[in-house]
Amino acid sequence: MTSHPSDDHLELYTLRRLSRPENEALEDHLLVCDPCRTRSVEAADFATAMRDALKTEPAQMESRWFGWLRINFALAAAFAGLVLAITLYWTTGNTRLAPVATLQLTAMRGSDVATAAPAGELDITLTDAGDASKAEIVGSGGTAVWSGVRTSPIVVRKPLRPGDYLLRAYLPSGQLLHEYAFRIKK
Amino acid sequence: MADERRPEDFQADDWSVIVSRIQANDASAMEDLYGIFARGIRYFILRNLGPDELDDRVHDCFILVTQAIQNGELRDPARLMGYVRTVVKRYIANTIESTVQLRRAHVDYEDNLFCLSDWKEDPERAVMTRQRAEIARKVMEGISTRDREILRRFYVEEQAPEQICGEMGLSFNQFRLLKSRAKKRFGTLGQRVAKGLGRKI
Repeated sequence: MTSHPSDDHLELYTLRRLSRPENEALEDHLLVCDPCRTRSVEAADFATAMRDALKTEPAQMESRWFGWLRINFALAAAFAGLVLAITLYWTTGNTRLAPVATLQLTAMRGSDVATAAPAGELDITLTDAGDASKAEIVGSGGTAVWSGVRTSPIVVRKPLRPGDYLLRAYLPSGQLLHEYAFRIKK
Repeated sequence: MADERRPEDFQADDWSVIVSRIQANDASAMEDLYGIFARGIRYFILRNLGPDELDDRVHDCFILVTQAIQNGELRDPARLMGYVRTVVKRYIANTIESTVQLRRAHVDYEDNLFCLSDWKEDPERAVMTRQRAEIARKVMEGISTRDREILRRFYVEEQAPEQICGEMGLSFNQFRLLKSRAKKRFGTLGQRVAKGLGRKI
C-alpha cells in the first residue's frame, strides 16, 4: 500500500512548496487515494485562507534577543531610506513616481487582483511559479511590455503605465505554466 | 467482476494486469481503470482548470490514457500511475495554452475585450474564498502577535519551518502545535459559519 502523506506534507503541496520529485510522488498518490484528496482540499482551504489573511498584516520585527538593537537598526534604515528618497526626488525630478514598488502574485482563481503604485522599478514575487525560468508581461492590448529571465523576485526596471497587465511564467520547455493578473494604479 | 480493492492498495503487478487486459480490449478493464483514476483525474482538472466542462475534460483524459495503453505507448505497465499523471498534466498545460492563445487572438482584435473577470471564478466560489479569509482573520484575532508573526513567515514569506524555529526560538513541535491549533480553530469557526448559512464551506 502506498503510504499516505502527513498533513504537513499535504499543506506544503497545496502551497506548491515541494520539490518536483516530491510533487510527482504525492500526485501519483492523490490520483488514486480519495481520503488524501479530501485532506488536501481541507489543507488548501486552510493554507490559502491563512495566507490571504496574513498578507494584509504588517510584518512584525520579533526577536527574543537584542530587540533594542533591532529597533536602532530599523530607525537607521528608515533614515537612510528617507535620504535615498529625497535624493531620488531631486535627481529624477519626478515627484509622482516612487523608486520601487513590490507585488506578490499567486495563480489562485478567485483572488483579488494584485495592485501596485506606479514606480521606477517593480519587484514581483511569484509564490507558486515552481520551475518557471522565463517570464513575460503583456499589457491590456496584448503587446509585450517586458520579458526576461525569471528571477526571485522578478525585477522590472522600467516604469509601467497605469493599467491592467498579465504576467506569464514559462517552463524551460517553453510551456506556459501560470498567468497572473495585476494592475498598476493611477 | 469489478476489482473492489482500494486503488491505493494496488501494487505494481496489479497495474500490469490491468494494462494487459486493456490491451486485450477487455471492456471490464476499462471500467476498472475508470473507477480507479476518474476521481483523481477530476481532482487535478478541477484544481487547475476549474469546474467548466469538467466531465468532458475527465473523459478526454481517460480516452487519452486508454488509447495510449492500447497503442503500446506505456513502456512499463508498473508505472501506470506516473503515466496517467503525466497525461493529465500535459492535458492541463495544453488546455491553458489553448485558452491563452484564444484570449490573445481576442485581445489583438478588440482591446475592449480584455477583462480581468476572465480570471475570476464563479461568484459563489469567490464568496466562499472571501468567507474563508474572513474566518482566518478571526482565527488570528485569538493569536498573539508573536504567533501571528510565526504564521506569517510560514504562509506569506514561505520560510522553512527550520528557519522560523531557529530565528523565533521555538521547537519544531511548538511550531506544529501552533499551526494545528490554528487549523482546528479554523475548522470550528468554519463549521459554525456553514451551519449559519445552511451549507458546507
